[in-house]
Amino acid sequence: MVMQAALAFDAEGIPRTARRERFLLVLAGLFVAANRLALLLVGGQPVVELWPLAVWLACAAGAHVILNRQVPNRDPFIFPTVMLLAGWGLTLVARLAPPFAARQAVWLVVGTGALVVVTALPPNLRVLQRYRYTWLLVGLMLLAATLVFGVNPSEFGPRLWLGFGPIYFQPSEPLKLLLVVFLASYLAEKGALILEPGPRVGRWSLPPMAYFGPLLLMWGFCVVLLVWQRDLGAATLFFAVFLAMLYVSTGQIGYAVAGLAMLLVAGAAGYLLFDLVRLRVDAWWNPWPDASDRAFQIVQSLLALAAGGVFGQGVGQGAPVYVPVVHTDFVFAAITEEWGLIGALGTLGCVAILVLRAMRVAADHPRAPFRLLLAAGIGTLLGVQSLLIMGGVVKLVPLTGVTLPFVSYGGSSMLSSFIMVGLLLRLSDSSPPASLFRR
Amino acid sequence: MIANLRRLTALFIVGFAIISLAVAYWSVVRSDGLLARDDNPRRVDAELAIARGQIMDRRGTSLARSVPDEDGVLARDYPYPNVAPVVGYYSLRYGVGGVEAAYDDVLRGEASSILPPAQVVTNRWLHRDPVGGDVRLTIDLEMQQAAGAALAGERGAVVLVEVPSGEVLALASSPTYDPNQLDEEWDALRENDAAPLVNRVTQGLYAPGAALQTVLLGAGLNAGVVELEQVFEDAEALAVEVDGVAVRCGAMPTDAVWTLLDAYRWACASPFETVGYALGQERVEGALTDFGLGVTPALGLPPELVADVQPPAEANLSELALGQGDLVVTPLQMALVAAAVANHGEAPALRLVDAVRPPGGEWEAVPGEGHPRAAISRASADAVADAMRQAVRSGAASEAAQPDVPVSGHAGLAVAAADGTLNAWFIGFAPAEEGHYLAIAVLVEDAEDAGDAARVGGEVLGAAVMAS
Repeated sequence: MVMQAALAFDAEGIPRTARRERFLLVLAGLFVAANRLALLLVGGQPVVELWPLAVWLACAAGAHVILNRQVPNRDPFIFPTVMLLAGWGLTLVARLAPPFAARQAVWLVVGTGALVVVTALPPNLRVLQRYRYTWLLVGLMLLAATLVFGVNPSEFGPRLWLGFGPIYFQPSEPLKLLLVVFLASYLAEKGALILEPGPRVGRWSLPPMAYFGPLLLMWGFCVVLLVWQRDLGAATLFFAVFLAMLYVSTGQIGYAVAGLAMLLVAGAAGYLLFDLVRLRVDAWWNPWPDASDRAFQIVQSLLALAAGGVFGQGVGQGAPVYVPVVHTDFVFAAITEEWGLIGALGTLGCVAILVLRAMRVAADHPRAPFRLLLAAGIGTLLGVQSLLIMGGVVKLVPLTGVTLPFVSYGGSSMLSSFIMVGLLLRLSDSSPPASLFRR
Repeated sequence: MIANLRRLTALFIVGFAIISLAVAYWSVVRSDGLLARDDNPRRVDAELAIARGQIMDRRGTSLARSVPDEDGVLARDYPYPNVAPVVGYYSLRYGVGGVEAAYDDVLRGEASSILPPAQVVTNRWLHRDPVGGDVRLTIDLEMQQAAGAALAGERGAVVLVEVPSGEVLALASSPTYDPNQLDEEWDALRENDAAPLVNRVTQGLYAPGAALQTVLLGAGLNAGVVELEQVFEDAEALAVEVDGVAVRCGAMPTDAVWTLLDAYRWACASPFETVGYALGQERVEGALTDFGLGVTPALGLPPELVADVQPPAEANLSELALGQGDLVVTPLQMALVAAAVANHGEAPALRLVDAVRPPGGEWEAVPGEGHPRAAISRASADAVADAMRQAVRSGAASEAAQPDVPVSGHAGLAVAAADGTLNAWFIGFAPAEEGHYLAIAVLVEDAEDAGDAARVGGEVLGAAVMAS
């Protein structure tokens, strides 16, 4: 499968991909810099407060240069889009929760570093495909560790973190990626077999149990997640990604419909059994009678959206901090308040570009089902996660407490999202890797 | 698999489109309604950001101002709390009252007279903190303080008007409240039976009772149907009953009561029933209108701050002549009666707000809203004025007499309730500088006799003439 792709050069002898990506990165940089400067002027802060901009510029430029060597034929839209979102997010975290800005900047550096390292993998990503049960085991161990040792940094709410001294790590974030890798590998190999007729129940033909069983386990796994950890967000996300990948692999819409029904059943059971789930669903269905108490967050979020209008209040000029935990779950509300409907559409556009390019990368591997499914799975994961949290902020779905990828504050999410993007970039370029430090 | 991929992608695009529509729904369609919610903290922020203007008395003394507290947050401060009945209050929790409410847009810097609408929009876009304009009242702080002091401990109202300008110099209502403590005391104030939040001058509706005698006397003299020397049977002895309550003279007469002038001096009711019949229903009602009773006075304040007074529908002439029954008046209206007598028969147009000033700008006069109105002829008015002078020399209003100030006035009682509760009225005037008078109306609730009101009126007029 390894083949040397011909590089497309322009008149100045620079590869076309590098040139396009550089242009888009400059645009993203102008946007981030303009907002950072505006924030500086509004707040009357000293010039030293420009440091997040410097960190961002270093990450963008450094990664761009290394990527030009590692993956010269990569998709030129993905990295600038991600950096725009990450720069926007860093600006927002510095504005909404200044004490967290330094941590977020560190995670941006770690994230871009991880992205660059991942692109050094061999283009066929066989290491990921071959050891799928290892990855699954690692994931399950992470989950088990969280079930046993889990903590919550704020000392209340679901215990979804593992603590290492001052650093808290959310295992569900790498778990998402490990599951996508496992599912891509499993479905690439066994997807066709699932379609063969299995045992019959009356008129209905069930898929063969031997192959479909592991996938049922997946559903059980999500339920466990829900039951033990009350992690509505991760459970929904895993299951949606699972259904999407199953559909892409088999083309059976019936599985997706049945899966959604199972999800609703699990959700209904969760509603009846768990206070946290019931609270979130109630606050979603009709927040107004409880606006000062249990539905405070969502009502304040809607007020922030309302304050935004079409053009927004202007960066640093709104009052999104009235929304509790605005820098993680409700960052989309803050964007709408300060950049208005236009800013919200811009964010949506960026996420949409990311998803569409991921699907495009997937479609470029028609004869390599693992790589197709991996790219589609990553795109679905990022897309569904964005839809879940944005839908929660605008009261379309119950709040699930997942992050808006690259934008929300959160180190584990940032790191695993950057690794996923690194994989996407790797998948988008089938030329062999250059050595990381080749002269 | 490629086709499946395409359908999945289409599903995502639909999802993003739905989110876009939902954002537009909340941020544009539902925006105004949501932002108006009480639990929108941005409203308090916006309110706190306003450098609200000052309210001043006629000499420029600040009656209400915004001063930064220790955290730099602007807080409303009222250096003279007993001006509350006129200045009102400003509270984040309970809104605005009085002039604070009437001139809210000026004080917030949003009135078009203060700031062009285009500027308002620009300032909002640039998030400039609004700076409010100032309001200068016709109130004289010294006179206002005197009125408040004279009323202390009573339930009642005092309003002092300069004649002929119609400027309101003092407007006191008792009991009142401290606008500095409004948030803490609100519930108690609301539940208090004495209704401290009500402005008795403009919102208190009272039966005029004997206070209407001035109107009837003026109208009777004007129409030529009665004379001051007209002799009655012993007026004091002629009892009149209203709702089973015997209506007394304003005070126990110390000399014989034989003429209409005597009856007016002592504010005895029965002869004025005769005056009413002599005038007839039509002319009595005409007199009420001429003196501005049954009409809401134009004070330049919003309607909710000035009681909407309606003339009684089908009044019984006897009850009307006694100032009882369905006819109700505010102390402000009775001050207009006093002002018309002092002003030789013409009721002046009232003014409470003298001028407004945009931030950093010049004062611009605020014209009065009403028009001067001829009530009775000059000769009739002067005759009534003379009767008032005599009522203070010897009559129910004698407690209004001041050593250095020639006070004229009339004090009488009104039946306030069927249980025999009486209110005391005093309306009168005193000369200030050449050609100028200070006219006053005083109401004291639950009074023993008319002297309760006369004493307050005399005190305020005496202090006011000295201060003018």
